[in-house]
Amino acid sequence: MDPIHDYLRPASYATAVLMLLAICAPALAQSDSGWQKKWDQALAQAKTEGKVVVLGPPGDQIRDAITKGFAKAFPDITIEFSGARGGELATRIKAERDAAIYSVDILINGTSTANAYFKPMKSLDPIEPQLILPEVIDTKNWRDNRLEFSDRSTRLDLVFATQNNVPVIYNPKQVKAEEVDELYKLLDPKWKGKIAVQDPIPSGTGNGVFRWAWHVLGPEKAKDYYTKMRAQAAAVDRDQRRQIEWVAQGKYPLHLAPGTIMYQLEKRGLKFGVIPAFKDYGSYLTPGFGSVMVMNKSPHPNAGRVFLNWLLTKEGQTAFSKGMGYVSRRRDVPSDHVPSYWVPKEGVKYWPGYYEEDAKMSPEQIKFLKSIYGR
Amino acid sequence: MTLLAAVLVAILAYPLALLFIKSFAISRPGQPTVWGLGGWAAAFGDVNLAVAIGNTFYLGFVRVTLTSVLAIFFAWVVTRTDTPLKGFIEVTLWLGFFLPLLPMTMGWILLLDPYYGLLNKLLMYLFALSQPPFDVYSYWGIIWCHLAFSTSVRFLLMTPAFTAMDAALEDAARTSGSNNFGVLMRITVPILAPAILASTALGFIRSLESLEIEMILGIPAGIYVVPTKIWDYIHWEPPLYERATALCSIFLLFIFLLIWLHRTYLRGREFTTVTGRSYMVRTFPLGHWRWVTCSFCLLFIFVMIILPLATLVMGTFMEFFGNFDVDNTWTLRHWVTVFGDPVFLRSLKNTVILGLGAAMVGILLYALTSYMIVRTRLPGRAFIDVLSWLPWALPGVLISLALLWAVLGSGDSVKLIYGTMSLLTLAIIIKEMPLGTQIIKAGVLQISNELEEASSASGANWMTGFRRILLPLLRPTMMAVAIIVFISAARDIPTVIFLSTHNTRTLSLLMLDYIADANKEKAAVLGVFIVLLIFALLLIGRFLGFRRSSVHS
Repeated sequence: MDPIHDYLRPASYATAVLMLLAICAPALAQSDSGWQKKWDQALAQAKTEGKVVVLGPPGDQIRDAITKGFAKAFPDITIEFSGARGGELATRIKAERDAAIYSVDILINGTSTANAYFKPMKSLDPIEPQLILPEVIDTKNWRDNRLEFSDRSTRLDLVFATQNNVPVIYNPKQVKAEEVDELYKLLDPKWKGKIAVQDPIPSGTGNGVFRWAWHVLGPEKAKDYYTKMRAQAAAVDRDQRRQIEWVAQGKYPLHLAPGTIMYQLEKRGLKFGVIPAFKDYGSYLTPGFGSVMVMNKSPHPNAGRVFLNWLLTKEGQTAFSKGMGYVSRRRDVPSDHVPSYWVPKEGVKYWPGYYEEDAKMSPEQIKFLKSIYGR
Repeated sequence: MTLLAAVLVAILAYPLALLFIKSFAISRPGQPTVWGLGGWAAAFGDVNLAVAIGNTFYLGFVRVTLTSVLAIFFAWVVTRTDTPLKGFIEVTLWLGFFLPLLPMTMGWILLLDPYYGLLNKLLMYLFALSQPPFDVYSYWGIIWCHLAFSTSVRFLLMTPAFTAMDAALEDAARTSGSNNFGVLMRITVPILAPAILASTALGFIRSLESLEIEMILGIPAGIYVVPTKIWDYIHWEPPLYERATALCSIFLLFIFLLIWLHRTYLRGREFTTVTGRSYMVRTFPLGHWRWVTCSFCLLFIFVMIILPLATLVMGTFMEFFGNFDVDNTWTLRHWVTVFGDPVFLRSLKNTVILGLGAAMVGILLYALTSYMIVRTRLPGRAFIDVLSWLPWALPGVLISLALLWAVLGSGDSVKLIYGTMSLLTLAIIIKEMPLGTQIIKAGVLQISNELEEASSASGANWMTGFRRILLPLLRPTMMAVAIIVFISAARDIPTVIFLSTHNTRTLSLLMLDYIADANKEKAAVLGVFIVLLIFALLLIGRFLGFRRSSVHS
């Protein structure tokens, strides 16, 4: 190799980089001031609008998680948050829009609410054009180097949190973890009459776990599993807190599909064991209420834009994650406050069951489930 | 009066008709409307519906029978006898009505759960039993948990009628040799038939519609009723309102049957107990029996009201209601966080406005409606009478939905009330219309026409007669109705769910937030707080002159 060449090569690279920087510097400066200018404009107009109206699920935890951080960051913009179930929100918003009333800026909810109601209602605006802050737009800050959407083709519902869904909890005084750490171990005759099962028919965690089982087992095996699980069940109930308390108190040693409230109850002192995922079939990922939509024809578009950007910053995501115990999709948001069983692990099979195409049961599945679990 | 009829048609007939029409829309929310019979066919094609209907009527029948006997007995004891501690008995029976059903049921579960129920454990220990003697998750568990509330509400509704009854009628019976029980059964009860029938109809329909206790206790025992099916449809994703509305027609048919029975029974009879002559309400000495009646009342109050209430209050100071195994069993945290909630004060203010507004406007509307039905000969009054029963056929959430559609589907001037407290007030007034109208109607039937005729002969117009004669005589009845309407406004979640906004949230919706986060203890704190609030208002009301007088003239 030519030593002169070797000597010159770093120098020529450095020269090239410097020349490139010199050429691009004005453009970079312009881009930097571009987002800043846009942000300043949005912020100024948001302050003029005075408030942002956000709808979400019911619950004081999520209300606090959403409102407190924003109010602190933007004291000049009032945040009005109201919570209701997805179906109720959709019914109300549909009636409002039919009457040409547009009262909502931002919607935070589950992905099924987005895809089952608001997308068909044509009431959503694309999200990406609303994103201004570089730390939000930069995909390197997000897991898998991308912004995640539940509707991958239309990109209207941005998923900002995904965590592992815990399929089973147990009473450690009555059950050893290794006795129930595989899907089919739950069908062991010794658990007959000892499992409280979250009702799989309405939407919620019970529905999610049974959809996941259909996905991983296939229709025929899943039907067989559904039938056998019904025979094993001591109770099929919808009151999740009650079922978790039953397990903690030892009334029933096992509970299938405990849902996200288990975290709140555990934090308050209930004791139970957790199977984060089955050894054989894994589990599935769920955003819970961690997805956001922008309503079109919104009354406070700039305040909505400011809120959306704030929510997706490290600061906003940390506030939400700490309030709800959710696992943010942002890489720079710590997860040490999140229960370890919600953090997805290397080497475990997870089904991302929140995509639009997977988010609801097939008619065949619903019909079969109703025949077994209907009342 | 014509204007009143028009208002009633607008606020009752129009939203309900809209709901009925939309029950034939089978498309999902947000999608283009498709019409069909699919909703009705699916609702009535359900193979489990017959069992649910059977359960509903069985539970309703048993509850109404038991509470009729108990409420008549308590009303008689408090108003017509010299039983000791009557004032205490009356006030604590009111308390039974104020108590929130959900936390009270949690109190009963803590006592009677077959696995960890404290009373079951105690009895098993004391009597060395191998099986728990009680199972709250059963038919009788459901009936038991309803007993205090259902008896109290019927007591509250019957007491004014018992008060406004001339003692001369009972005196005559006694003079003719009848004993106290004979007087009660042959004179008091038949004369008070309109009030008793109205409260029985109310009790029966409320029993049929009852949901909370059936959800908590019925589902683990596999006992399903029609309201749990309606709830299922409403909470389905997407909600199946058309099926829920279709199932409500079962209640509607039953209401028509009740109206027919009610009218058939009352037709051609006189129930006037308040005439132009002065009348007396006197208590009758029971002798030694007064200690028996007193003991029975106190036993009922202790077992059915004080015991679960004490459990409920205790539960609000526990980290987990009834769970003694957690590390921090006792805490003040729930009280501190509820009162420190940033939306608490706004919700409280809205609740007081809603409660007072609905109670005041409501009783005036119910009184005018009752007057129109009973006293006038206006064409269409029979239709108004039927209309006033209809909200009983619908669960609160469907009334809320009907109003949402009606208001937003109307002109711009009507739309203005959307998002205001006025719309929530209207919803509560409609929800309690059957109760208010039927009970006040029974009160009007007790008052003789001759009083208003005398007023008219003296030159007063009907409004003056209504305001200066009828309203004062109806005051105890209207006070009872006002209390019920206020409580409904303070507690009701479904009736306001579609109509409230950020600025019009009430305490009941704050309670929903806590329930959604599975924090029943905080919801119970709010429940206890609402009881205290109502009790305080009631005491103020009594202090300001709404006491029941012992002698009317």
